Amino acid sequence: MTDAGFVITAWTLTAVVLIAYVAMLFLRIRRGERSLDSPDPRR
Amino acid sequence: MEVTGERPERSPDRSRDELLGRTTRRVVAVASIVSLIVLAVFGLWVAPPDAVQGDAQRIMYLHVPAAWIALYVAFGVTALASALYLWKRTRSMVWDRLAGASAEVGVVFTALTLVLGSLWGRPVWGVWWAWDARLVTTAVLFFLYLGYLALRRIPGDPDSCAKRNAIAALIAFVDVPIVHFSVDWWRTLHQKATVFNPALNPHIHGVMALTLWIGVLAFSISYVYLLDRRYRLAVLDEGREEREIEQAIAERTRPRQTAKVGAS
Repeated sequence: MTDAGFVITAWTLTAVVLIAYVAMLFLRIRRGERSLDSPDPRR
Repeated sequence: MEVTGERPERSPDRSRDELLGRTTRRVVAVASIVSLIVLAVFGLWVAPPDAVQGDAQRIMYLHVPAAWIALYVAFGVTALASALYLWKRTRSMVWDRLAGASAEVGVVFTALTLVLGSLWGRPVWGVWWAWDARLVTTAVLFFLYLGYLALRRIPGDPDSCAKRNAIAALIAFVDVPIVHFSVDWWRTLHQKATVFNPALNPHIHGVMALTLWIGVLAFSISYVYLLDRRYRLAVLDEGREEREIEQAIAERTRPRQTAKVGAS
């Protein structure tokens, strides 16, 4: 792999990790806030 | 174990459910996205290639900010919040939640630091990994905080758990100065401190320095946003667990009361 290949891999990986982490937090928070209104907390 | 209707005592919760207000959070989110885009433009196009390392050096604009925010900010906040929890005058579950939230974000940034360092090391050093003091102490730090996060998941009395977590966080933080000074204490393949060197004389100039500081700013803002969201999730998780316990207690006490009524 060339230097440019390593650089592109590094920047892409960082973007993917940050986006995936934000998405995971967003989905879990949304599910948690929805369950506040639910009578059964296990849902 | 007998199930009674009493709940374990919990330290006072002197806070709201979120760290940032809605408007502030939106501003931070937008600032985070904009600063990361500016970082990409500067890091990939505006900053010149390094005279020795060529384009591979562009990984530094991610690797160094990720390491700084993880070590000095995220794990620093975890240690500070843990100390505030252990101090009786400031004891509050807010600090326990904040410590856990910051540690998780710190672990994500430390994982990024290790992987980005590996991607930088391959073209520059010729190897993906070396048993170098800086690399090993950083890997140890990563596993220490992974262990801390695992410890937080062990159930128990909330106050005892929070105390245990706080002590573990302070023990884990001992590795942070070891990571920082590892390049001075041992002969390492990893370069010595460029900016925070003992003479505080940064050996980086011009557009490269500017790009590095844009990276630090972008990662700092992103950290604030992620910390706020992770804290919110911790509040929601605690609420769900409390409701589940209350429901379990209600389910176990209901038939007993009914049986007593039937017997009399």
